[in-house]
Amino acid sequence: MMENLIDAKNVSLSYGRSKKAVDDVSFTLPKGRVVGLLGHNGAGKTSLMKALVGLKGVAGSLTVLGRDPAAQRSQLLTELSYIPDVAVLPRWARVSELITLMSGLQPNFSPERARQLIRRTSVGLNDKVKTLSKGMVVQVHLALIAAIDAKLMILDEPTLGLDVISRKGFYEMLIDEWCDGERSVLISTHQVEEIEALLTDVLMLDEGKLVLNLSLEAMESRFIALAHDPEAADEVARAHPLLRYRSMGGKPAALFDGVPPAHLEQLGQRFRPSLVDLFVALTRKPELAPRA
Amino acid sequence: MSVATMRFKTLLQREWMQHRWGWLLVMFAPLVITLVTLPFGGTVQFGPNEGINAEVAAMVLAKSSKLAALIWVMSTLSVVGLSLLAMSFQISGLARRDAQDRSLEFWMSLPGSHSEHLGSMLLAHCLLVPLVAVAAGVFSGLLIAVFGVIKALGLAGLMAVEWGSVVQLLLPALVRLVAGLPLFVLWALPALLVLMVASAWLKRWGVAAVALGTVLLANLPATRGPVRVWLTGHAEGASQAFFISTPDQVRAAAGAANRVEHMSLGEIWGTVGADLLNQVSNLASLQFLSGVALAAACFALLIYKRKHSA
Repeated sequence: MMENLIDAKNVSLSYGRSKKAVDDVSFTLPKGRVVGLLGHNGAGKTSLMKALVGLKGVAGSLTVLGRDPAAQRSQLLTELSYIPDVAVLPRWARVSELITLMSGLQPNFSPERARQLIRRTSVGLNDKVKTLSKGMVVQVHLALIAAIDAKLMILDEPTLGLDVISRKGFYEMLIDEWCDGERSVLISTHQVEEIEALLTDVLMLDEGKLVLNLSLEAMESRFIALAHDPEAADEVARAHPLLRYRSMGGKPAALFDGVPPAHLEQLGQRFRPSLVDLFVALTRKPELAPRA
Repeated sequence: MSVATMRFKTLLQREWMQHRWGWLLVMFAPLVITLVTLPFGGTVQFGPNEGINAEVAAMVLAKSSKLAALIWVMSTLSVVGLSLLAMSFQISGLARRDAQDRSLEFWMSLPGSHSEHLGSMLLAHCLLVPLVAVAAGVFSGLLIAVFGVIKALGLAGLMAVEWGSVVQLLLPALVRLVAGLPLFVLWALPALLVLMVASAWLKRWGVAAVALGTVLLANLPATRGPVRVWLTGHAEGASQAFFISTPDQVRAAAGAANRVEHMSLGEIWGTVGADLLNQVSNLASLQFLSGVALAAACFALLIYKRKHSA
């Protein structure tokens, strides 16, 4: 019985000799998880996702759904749904033709489910992709991908170009209808605030390296933010927090990896740091000055 | 049907969905142009056998039947010729088609190997479409023949056409054409794939680069000899794929019947069969196998390029 849907050990991926897109990354993805893959532009998210679906070869050991992605890409993709990028649907095709083609290419695709999901949008089955707006193309792509009865969904910036209502609708459908406790989702996005509530785990990449691999529960207990008065700023700075910034309401705050020193706790008030703050703390460039 | 077969069939269907209007336009343009232009211009007057002698005289046919047969043959050949010409122009652009419109990433997010995608593309464009063009040519050629006979000889002339005899006469030619198509494609494939490879890397300069490279190789003292021999061999193979390649066979068959025009249907079928066998046996030659090796190398290069474009 397969325990983990993804098993990556010391995975590296290079472009040419010098550019390392993914650098010695190890992680596992069990069943029933919704994992956010976060990172700056060029952090290696897309490269890692391409490696996971067999489009890029890697050094190290990588198993997805019990298969070697590079060697068994075609078989792997029958059990996996993947959005590589938005706006990649063939522009000449009608939506109904895409459903026909997906039915023939993807054995686990349900045309009825796809039609049902497309009916929720303003796109018609007879519409040509080239006549649709960018957001509508994304809606069609998401509907097609969500109609695959897969064990794992890998989404690379899936909602780019979608308005906030459509984004919300997609995420609701993903969690309420697609995820069933057995299926897992790996999702990369820059709209961290929007997906934070959906995630069970987070992977953070920085310059190709995995700087965080944690469940959201563990994150809450490990990282602690402290809102404090401006007068306490120097004292807080001496404790070397991960990040000093302004919290909601403009009050100075500091983010600590672990429990802050006891004397600081008296100077401020603990609160749960957001994923965005943690992301900034762990992936900001060292040459940049702190935000507060 | 296995999953792989289903997938390949779907990829062929994708080619149809994407290119059907262009294909249909090429296939039926001769019919439409003929039907539109036929009412205009003067009537055609033929003498007793003027202009339509040897080509269709293998059976003793009435003038109207000969005319119908001639028009039917010429129309069918023009449709097939146009389709092959369109294919040869289109093929170089196919190498970059999916990368150009960015849909490559979509196709690669679905099950299916690069070789399946390329294989279905080549099969559809190089073989299936020309075969469909034969059917379209036969159909539109029949209509053009009907209207052409009416135009030249009137309705009475049409009524005089012995369609059964015409079909009997043309059937061996049709069989030879259909059987010759795969042979033609096999001989032409190295050139087509070289064009695709060049376009995959050099984009719009690919065709010009191939033309320039071929001219250079065929004229440089170091390469002139073998390159010219190879090109001539392949050009002969491709050109003989559709037509009687050994006039001796025809003469031999005609000798028994005294004149080519008086060959019996059996002799015609026999000649076509012998010629086809001769063409098939030509495939077991170093010339042809070297082309297969070149085509295979080009196919591998196209897969490499496609893989690294995704």
